[in-house]
Amino acid sequence: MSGPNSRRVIREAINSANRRPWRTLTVGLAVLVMCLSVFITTGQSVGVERRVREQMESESARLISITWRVMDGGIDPSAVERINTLTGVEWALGRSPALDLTNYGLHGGNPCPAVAVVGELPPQAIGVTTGRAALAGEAMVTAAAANCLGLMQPAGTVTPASARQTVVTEPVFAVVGGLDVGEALAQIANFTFLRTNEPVSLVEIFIQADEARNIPAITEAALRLTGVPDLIDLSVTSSEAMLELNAILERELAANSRIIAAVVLAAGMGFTGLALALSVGAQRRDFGRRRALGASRSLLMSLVLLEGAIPALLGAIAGTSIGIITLALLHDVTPDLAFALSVPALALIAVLIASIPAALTAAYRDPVAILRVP
Amino acid sequence: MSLEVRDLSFTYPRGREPIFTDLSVGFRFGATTAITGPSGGGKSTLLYLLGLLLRPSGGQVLEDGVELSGQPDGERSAWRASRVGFVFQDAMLDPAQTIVENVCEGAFYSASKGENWEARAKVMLEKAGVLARFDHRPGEISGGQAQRVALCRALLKRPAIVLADEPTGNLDSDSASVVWQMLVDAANDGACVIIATHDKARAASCDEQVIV
Repeated sequence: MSGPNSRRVIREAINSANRRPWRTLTVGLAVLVMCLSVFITTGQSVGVERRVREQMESESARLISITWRVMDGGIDPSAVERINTLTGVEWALGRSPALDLTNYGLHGGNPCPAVAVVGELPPQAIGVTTGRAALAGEAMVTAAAANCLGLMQPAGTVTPASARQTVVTEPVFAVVGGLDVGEALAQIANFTFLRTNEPVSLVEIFIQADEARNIPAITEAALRLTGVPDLIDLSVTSSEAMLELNAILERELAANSRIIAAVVLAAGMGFTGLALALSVGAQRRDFGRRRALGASRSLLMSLVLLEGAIPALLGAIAGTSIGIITLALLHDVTPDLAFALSVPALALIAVLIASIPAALTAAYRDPVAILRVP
Repeated sequence: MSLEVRDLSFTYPRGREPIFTDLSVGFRFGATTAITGPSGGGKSTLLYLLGLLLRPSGGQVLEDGVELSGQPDGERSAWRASRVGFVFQDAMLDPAQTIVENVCEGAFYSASKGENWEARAKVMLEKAGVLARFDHRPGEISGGQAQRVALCRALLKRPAIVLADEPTGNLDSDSASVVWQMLVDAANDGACVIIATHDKARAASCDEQVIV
């Protein structure tokens, strides 16, 4: 002998849920609010996290600068080529100490800043706007440098302003092209870039990492590849500290999101548990009658759990849908599939757990105490 | 077929005195049996024991020699759902369901399917004289009509055993006659009909009497 099959039980649970619209609506709305709250609060955190990550992945945030900090000497220029071969390095560019240039054609014009550069000009950071890339003994100017030098066009010749300078040996450089220097190299954006015939000692090497998280490893390897025997002569500037800050921020946001989600789920669980307990309390005659007519304890438990689960499922679907749309509209965030599925699943589990006391109460109530008429 | 209690004893958990001690009675199928006795004598308790809603303190409830009262809840519930039709002192209808839905509930808890229970429920309601109210709620019918609906619910699945606890106690004479006749008809159809009643005249009209 056995009871009704599961299809009949589900149908009865649906009918029973329909016959008690206030309880059904209460449970459904509670779950909807639970899911929506988790999506909105956690979604905000995800949005902040994503913006921080985008900031971290910007070119300027991924730039490492290794600087020679002693008055004399410098880094061997061959280090640039070696660093360029590192995995995770998008490009590397070395520069000499700054020197002053004047427009050769003006015979004693304004002194304007210039550097000799070593390494391929990275198209991601430096664009050739006119003319061509400079070869050895040639120069390229940014718009600001051309203006400073009094060049109408990025063409002409420039010469070191003082014969005492020791950075370059060439007396004149032909200007062969114009440059546009991006934000990552803003500190040399107003300079004239020189290509020298003789190797020059470098005072700074710029390195662009492909991803922010690779910065520490690349920095460590690049320092070794400079060939500088005493690394105390070098200083490093990078967004490593920002990276650490980002990691802390991500951890904090994740922890906060988890706490908020747990509080929302616990509150929802308490609320739905109370609503179901009150409802079952008011149905004592109903459950006594069912027991007398042949309902087993397990059947009554199934009915109570289903009567909670059915509106909870509808509430979870509605809450998740509204939550995803709200996130997209307010924070431009699309949650990943695992997150989108886990929120309603957790809400459903919470409601099922909250329904257990009510289900046990219904199943273990003494039917005879209810059937007796005083 | 036989239904019997053997050496039955029962004491309520908070009770000091036993309701029965060593009660042994057999109940016939195809007959009506009245359980009579003073108030508090255990008439309703005996019905609840026969319906396996209570576990005896001692002794057994047997059908065709098979001991039922010691079985687990699932088995006892399934037996009650498939073999027993219960009529309570109070009609105990679900106020949220219509009259015909209340009657159909009598068949829900058994595994039986295939029959059009709603059609049979309407036949039963017609026999009980309340078909006109089939789509009403219990709050919209009289007490006598409610008890007739409760009897339809109990008899819907043609139970082998009918347990009726004061089924005519609160009814006017017309309603009481209809209810009584339906119980007699069930016995004539082969059911074992056991009725707890105070009404001496109706008890006397039963095929057998048990005094507790």
